[in-house]
Amino acid sequence: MSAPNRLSHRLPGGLIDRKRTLSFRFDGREYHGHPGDTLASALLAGGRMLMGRSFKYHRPRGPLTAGSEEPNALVELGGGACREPNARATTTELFDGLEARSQNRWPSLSFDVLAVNDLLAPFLTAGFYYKTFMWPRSFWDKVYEPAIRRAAGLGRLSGAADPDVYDKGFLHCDLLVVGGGPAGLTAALAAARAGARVILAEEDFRFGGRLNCDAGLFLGADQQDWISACVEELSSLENVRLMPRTMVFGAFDHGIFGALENNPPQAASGPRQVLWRIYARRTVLAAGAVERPIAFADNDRPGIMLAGAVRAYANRWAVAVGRQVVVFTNNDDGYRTAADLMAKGVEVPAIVDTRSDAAVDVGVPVFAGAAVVGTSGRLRLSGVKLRLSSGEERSLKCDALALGGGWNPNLHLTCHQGHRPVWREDIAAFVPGKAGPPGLRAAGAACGAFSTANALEGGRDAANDALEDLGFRRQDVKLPEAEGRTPSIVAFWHVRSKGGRAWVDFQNDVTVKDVELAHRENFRSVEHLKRYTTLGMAPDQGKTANVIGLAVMAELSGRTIPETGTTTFRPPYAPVSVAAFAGRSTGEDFRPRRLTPSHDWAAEQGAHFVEAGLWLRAQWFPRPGESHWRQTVDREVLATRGSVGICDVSTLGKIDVQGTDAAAFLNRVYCNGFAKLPVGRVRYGLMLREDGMAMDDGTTARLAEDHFVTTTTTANAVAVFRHMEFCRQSLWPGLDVQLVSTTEAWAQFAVAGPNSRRVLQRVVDPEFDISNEAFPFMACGEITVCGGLRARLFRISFSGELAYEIAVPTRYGDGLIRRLMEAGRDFDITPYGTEALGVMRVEKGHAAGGELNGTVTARNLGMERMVSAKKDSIGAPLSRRESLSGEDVLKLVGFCPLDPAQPLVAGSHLLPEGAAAQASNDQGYLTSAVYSPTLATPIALGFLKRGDARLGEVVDVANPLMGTRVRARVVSPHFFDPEGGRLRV
Amino acid sequence: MSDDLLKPRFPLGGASPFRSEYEGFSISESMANSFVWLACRLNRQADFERMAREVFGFAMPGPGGLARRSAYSTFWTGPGQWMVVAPFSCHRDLETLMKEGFGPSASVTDQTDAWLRLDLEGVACHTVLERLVALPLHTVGEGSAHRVSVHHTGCFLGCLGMADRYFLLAPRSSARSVFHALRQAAESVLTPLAAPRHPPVSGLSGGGAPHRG
Repeated sequence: MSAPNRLSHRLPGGLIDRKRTLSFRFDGREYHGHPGDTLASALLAGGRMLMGRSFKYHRPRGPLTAGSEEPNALVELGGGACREPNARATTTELFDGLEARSQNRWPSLSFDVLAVNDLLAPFLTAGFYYKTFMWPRSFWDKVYEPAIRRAAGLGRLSGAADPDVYDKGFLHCDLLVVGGGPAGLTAALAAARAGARVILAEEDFRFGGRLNCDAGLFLGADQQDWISACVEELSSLENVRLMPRTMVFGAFDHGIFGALENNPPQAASGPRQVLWRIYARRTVLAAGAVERPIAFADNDRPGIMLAGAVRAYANRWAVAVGRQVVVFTNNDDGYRTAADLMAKGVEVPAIVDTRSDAAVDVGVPVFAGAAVVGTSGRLRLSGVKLRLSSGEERSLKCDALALGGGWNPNLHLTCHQGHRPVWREDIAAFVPGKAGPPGLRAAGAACGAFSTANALEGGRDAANDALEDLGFRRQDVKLPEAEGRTPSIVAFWHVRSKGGRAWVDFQNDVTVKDVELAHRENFRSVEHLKRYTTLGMAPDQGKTANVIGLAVMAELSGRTIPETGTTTFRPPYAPVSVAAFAGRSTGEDFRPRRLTPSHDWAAEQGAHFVEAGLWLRAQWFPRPGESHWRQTVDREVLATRGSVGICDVSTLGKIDVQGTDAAAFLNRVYCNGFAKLPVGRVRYGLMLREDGMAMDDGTTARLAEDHFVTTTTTANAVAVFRHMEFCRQSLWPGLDVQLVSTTEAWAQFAVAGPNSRRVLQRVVDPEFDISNEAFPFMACGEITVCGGLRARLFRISFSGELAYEIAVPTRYGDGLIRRLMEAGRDFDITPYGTEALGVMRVEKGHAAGGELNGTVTARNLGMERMVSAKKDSIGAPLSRRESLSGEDVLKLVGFCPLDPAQPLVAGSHLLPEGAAAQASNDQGYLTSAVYSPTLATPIALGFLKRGDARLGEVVDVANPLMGTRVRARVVSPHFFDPEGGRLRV
Repeated sequence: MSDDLLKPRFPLGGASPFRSEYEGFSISESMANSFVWLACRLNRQADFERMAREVFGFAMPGPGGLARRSAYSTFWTGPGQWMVVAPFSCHRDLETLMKEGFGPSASVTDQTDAWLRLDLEGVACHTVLERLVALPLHTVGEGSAHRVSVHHTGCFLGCLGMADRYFLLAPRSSARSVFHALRQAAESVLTPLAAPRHPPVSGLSGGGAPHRG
């Protein structure tokens, strides 16, 4: 549907490019605007005041502001997966083809069925939900909450993945200037001229702040010429980074700020948004101030707008928000609005000033000591009702009302680290306190200096003070002559009247009555007030509402506003999309991946991969005809035990331990002895935490008197390295030990099975004898393979078979596995994955991640004899605590179901046969459970009270989650080849 | 040396190095260097420093420092620890060379295959790197090397030329993730000069249908 766009509300002048016309659509209807417009200004220019519906009552709403504090004009932008809900029309930069829709209405914005809520308003007061939907309890999740969510709310996400690109990055500067208005520009100029590295971040797409919105702030010079000259000079300097469209949303520790930079709409390239972490040595907060409304009956009708916003639309965007605009104010600033409108030819029927001594001779009727007590009009304001100082009531026709309740400095960033603002009675506003984030200072309106002259000076001086701190020279920036009068204000928060609701928080539909109700029900702390009424919640976080809410509560409780206090200011200052926080970390790139040296080869084989920490490991290698992973894993296990299998074990942590005290060091780190380990031999080691619990295990090979290679489990590689570095640096700095991780440097493969030696002999260079006699179980050595390539060979076995681990420099890992597969072809060499590896280690009773769960001791594991009494080592003393060696101590044992058709499940609890499945009967739990193709039965490892003394006993394995109960016999954890004969052949 | 079947693979998975070019920026994978980790042994500092001057012709650099002369460059990696870099072509067994050079004053560990080396060149280096590393790049001058985190991965970033020539060392197993992060950052601000060649995918499934029971 297309309609002629009359641009009926356009005024002359403004900072828009009238040479170009942009077409856009709102709720399917075509409108036109110009570069420089926002969506709100272009809609207003097109005569469209109604832009949204309120959160709870679905009241018709138009824009209240012209900035990011906007509570009403929230719209959905774009379509499909790109749909963006809750975009503020007041800050949405217009572009050709923009598609916007109103939200939270059905079937249309002008006729919204849920506006019936407004008729039910007497029942929908604060706390309504808490009091009403209490019974039946089970209805809350399934009935009440979904219904309430459908009826109330803001925009909706598309539910599809966001196809836009987001990025993040890091910036560093001497001075961060937040805000590009008069104070921000002079601050940036002073710092830039001093040679400091400056970042000037401005939320708007245009620098200048209120200089763009107000006329006559400079006495002589042209405001736009001055802004242009400033921006031009700053742009020309290499030490300055100008960042328009960038909202600094949070002040964090150590001078770190979060900032969200928006790419210009329809930019040819670049991410949609970039989330910057800015490290600033000093910061000037020149974020200006936000105007607040006055609460009175029906003060939320479309056409009621803040006075400063009305002025901004007229001066900056050349839009008259109405043809007859009444001004309602408690301060001098309202008069500026009237003057600017009249200068543009807009009729101002009256100024309603709550101050009894208000000026009267301003060329327009002024009602001093009066107030607006009501309004009329459904989808747009049609008139206001006044109560004059005499008590007489009078109605005035108008289609817009400019509300000026005073200004609140934008001090949020000064409070993000828990500091509190202080109240200034003379301007009836909170200003930043003396304490604040280190290195941050507010200037201009952000610290309550509301005149232009004060802002210009304040910015420059704040920057100069910061520069001096940093060792730069102060700069004498010549300032234009500007108005220096601070507007006079007499605080006035809300109009008492019979009937009608007076809105405090427009975005969350909180009225003066709601605050009164909270007070009556004793929710008088500001934090309780906020939670009970939702005042100050929602995307705008009460920027225009909070102080009025506090004032009403203060009045009711007989306290002052500062005594009433403020709620906590938390980042972000304005909403930041989750996509921006994610940046490039999406989908498969959510986190980094670590790939094994044989990854590509494994992928070629069709391996199925599993995440092990950041690693991707081959879990199994399916072959044609195998329709279930168990078939694959059974085959891999049987093939390995029957002939030979190969598995990439490069993921195990490898730590090079060198130094003349390396053996002594390991002797202290591991609970078993390492001092006497001969060169060329490997030993299994158990590492305990200080509290005596098992931390990690692995093998350590001695390559030379002063050189060991320690392996860790895959999962604990980083933790063990960190622990060993702590020991080296902090516990025993007197030992000559050096540690470095070599996990990445070596590709390592387990070659296991009765034919493993035969396969390896085909790749190991002939001068190295790896026969059982020359290279027995637990031998290790540096060798060469494939005609001279250096390698390491370890005769160790996790599978329980004759096995080796062979390591080559990582670049040859891919080549080696291909070579080994070729060499073992006639032995039907079989690659196996982590699943088969797990099955074989359970068959052998080796503890792994399931058993080393942070709560077990060497005694629990049946390894108490490994804790050497002949030496001291970390964790050894506490492992002997009495409390860990009671009669009922858990011991690692094996379990076999009496009926092999019944599987065992890890995590199941162990109960005496026939006992009720309750905690008091709990005797332990299963840690690892697999199907053993070797034994043709499910098997499991687990901890059972006095397990080692109960071999042969039958227990119940209960899984209350799955509702299963299986009878199982307690057996030795060494299911297969308990004597280890196969290892040593 | 190794027989024909043992072909070395580049860290990004190819048989030849990957390279991506953008307007004002390029990323080149390199396997042209040997790396060893060198650590001074306890109470052997004087010997170690003397050996360093003999072997390299310069004193070992301090924190954040990178020193270069002839074939060798070294950079600081921790207290009493350095990485030594030399051309692979003429220093294949750098570990042995260093062991011989430093004797019992140092611990030496080969790190040649532990790292992916990416050479970053061009006037847009800072534009890309500021999206990846939390380093004040304007203070990173020629002859410095720093520990940085790129896409949550611990790396080293060395500066070889003022603002336009860097090397990045990333753990080899994370090579594709780090390279991908670099390319994404570059593509978000720069125009590619040619269609890039992509390393093999690293998904959870190796090509066959999901095989879960």
